Amino acid sequence: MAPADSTRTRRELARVIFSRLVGMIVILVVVLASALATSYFAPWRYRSRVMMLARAGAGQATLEGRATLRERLSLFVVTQRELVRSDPVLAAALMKFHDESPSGPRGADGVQSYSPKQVEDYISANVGKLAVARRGVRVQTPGGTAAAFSQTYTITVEWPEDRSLAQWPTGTTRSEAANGAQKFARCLVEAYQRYRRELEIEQTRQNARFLKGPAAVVAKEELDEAAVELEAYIASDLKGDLLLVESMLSGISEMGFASLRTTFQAKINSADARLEELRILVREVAAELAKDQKKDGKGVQVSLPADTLKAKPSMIKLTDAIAQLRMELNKLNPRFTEDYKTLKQTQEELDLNLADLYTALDRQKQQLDLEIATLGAHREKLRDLVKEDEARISVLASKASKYKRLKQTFDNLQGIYNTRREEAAAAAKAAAQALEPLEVMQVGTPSLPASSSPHRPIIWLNVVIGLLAGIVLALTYAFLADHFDHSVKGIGDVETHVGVPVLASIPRIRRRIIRAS
Amino acid sequence: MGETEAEIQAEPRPQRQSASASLAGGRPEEIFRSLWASVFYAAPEAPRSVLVCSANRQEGATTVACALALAGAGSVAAPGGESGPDRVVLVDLNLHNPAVHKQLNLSDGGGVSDVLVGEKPLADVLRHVGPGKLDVLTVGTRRDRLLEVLRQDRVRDFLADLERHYGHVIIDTAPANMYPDAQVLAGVVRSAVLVAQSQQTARESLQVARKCIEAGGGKVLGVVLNMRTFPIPRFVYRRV
Repeated sequence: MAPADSTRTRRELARVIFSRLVGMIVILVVVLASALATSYFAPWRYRSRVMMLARAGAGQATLEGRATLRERLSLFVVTQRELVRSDPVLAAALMKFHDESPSGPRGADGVQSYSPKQVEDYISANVGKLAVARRGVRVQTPGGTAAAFSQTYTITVEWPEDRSLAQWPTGTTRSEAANGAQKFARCLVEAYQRYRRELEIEQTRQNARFLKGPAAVVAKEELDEAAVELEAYIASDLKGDLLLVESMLSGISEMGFASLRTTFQAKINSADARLEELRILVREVAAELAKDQKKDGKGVQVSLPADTLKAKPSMIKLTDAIAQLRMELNKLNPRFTEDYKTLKQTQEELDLNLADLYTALDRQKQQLDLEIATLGAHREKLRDLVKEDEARISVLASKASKYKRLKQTFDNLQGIYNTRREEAAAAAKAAAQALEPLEVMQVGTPSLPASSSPHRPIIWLNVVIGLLAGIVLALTYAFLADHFDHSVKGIGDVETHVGVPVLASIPRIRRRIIRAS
Repeated sequence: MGETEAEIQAEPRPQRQSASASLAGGRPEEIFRSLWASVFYAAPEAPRSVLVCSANRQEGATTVACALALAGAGSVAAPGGESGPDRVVLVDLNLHNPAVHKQLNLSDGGGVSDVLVGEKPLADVLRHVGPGKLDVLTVGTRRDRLLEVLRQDRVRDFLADLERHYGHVIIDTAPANMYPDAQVLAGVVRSAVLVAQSQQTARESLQVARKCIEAGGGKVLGVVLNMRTFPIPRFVYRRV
């Protein structure tokens, strides 16, 4: 199946091409003829070349390194391309070429130049002419290793020969065109040099103005003021706190201060609690003492606070003894008469013991009072400490904010000053370079092109391109026309699109097929 | 119509031999003979009458009809002049642009339109075209009475008459896409051959013509692709 299919495809392609062969040939011929005609009647051009040399002044060769100088030269030459082809230069050159009288001021060399107004008018009036001239002007840098301190570049001017049909085929304007190329090249170089010099002068003027300007000086003064203020503040107020303030500004010590404060507060709280406890104790002891003194102790229960008992083992012993004696006394009471002596003795012993207990209680009270006093003093001291600390922290914070403000001002001014200083340095460098700029010299005169060998289109190349384009166009035409042609072309067509068989296919027969008489 | 019928039955033969015509020998003859075969002999219930028309004007329908009739008449073996089912009649019902008489070099005295409006008997207008067994009915003089001529009942009777005396009837008619004639006749004749000019007739026109004939009640047997060209030169064709 595959070979049959490919055969069918090939035949279909062949059919498309051969059925529109005439149209295709017409298209091909038209395209070829137009390519041939345009390249034959295209204007011939004459080229005049002039070589320019850009080199560093003697001072700069020593001032700058070889590498930077070479780069500066390359950059310079690249910018010259735009300069040569710029509107003002082309306009001035064209005006000079057409011998228009200049109205500008006389230069240092005594040659009168075109005024800016004149140049501008010319530019706006001759946009098309300038565009044509610009197409003919090229600036090229020769390849190869350039010398370190100089670089050459060529300005090429193309001048078309007028090959309009009026002069065809003799072409009497050949030598005129060649001379025109040379003359325009001369005018162009002159205009370019003049314009370049004007630009240089303008640049020098600008730089000088900037250097004289007060921007950098003002910045420096402001910076100095800020620095003095900052230093004075550090010396007078901050002193030893500088480190602390800086660490505070950077946020390290905040937590340290806070924890210190909580520790103090905890200590004070515990002292308060202990004081409260002791006070209650003292109050109870005092109450007990007062009760005993009033009733004179006899037969009275001495109820001592549990805490007091706990605190003093000697007192426990005493209370025990008192209890025992009381019991004995009770026991002895019935036997009072006989045992009166014993009773008396016991009574005395009891009194003695009671006296001892009171003394012990008194002593304890005194001790407690002392302890309370000591604790109170300690607490007061702590509170003072905390207050002092807080005061110090607030002072430090205000100091820190001021320090921060001063420091920021200083930093800002430092940045501004640095920028200004860089600008000033750049301007100074530019000024130095402007004082001793790269020299541009013309090497030789613009060449006079030989009138016998103009530059013209390569006809055979254009014909080949035209042939290819024609073939592509013709094929496009054939396939498009076939695509949009809906007529039935063969048996397959009818059967596909109409759906009935083809009974007979009659070829075109030139003679009559019916002979009648 | 009764009268006419009787006359035909009594005298069905043309009196005069007014012309002679033949196909060019060789390739054209061969092609039209095979066309004849595929129209009349190819199927078991092959028609005896066939309508030849094209989609548009000037696509060669009349020429194809004449050539087909000549090929059929010439191929019949029996000598001319005899009556029988193998005789062929060519009817020109192209009322708008009749050309059969021009093709066969006949004078258009009277013809099928006269018969259909009932003015002349069939025998008066039948012409024999030699040397084969071909009779021809030219269009006649009453072309202006189009609507009378195309009345289906009359045409049906007329066709039945013809089929009684002739083996094969070939009717040339006006282009299907331009006039309703073909559609009307398709209801009577039933079988049609479409003539298309290659590189000229659009496939859409052919579709329209086919639909016309089918709408009238007929059937398109097939397409005759006329004036076919072979754009690829022979030496190229052999190589691709």
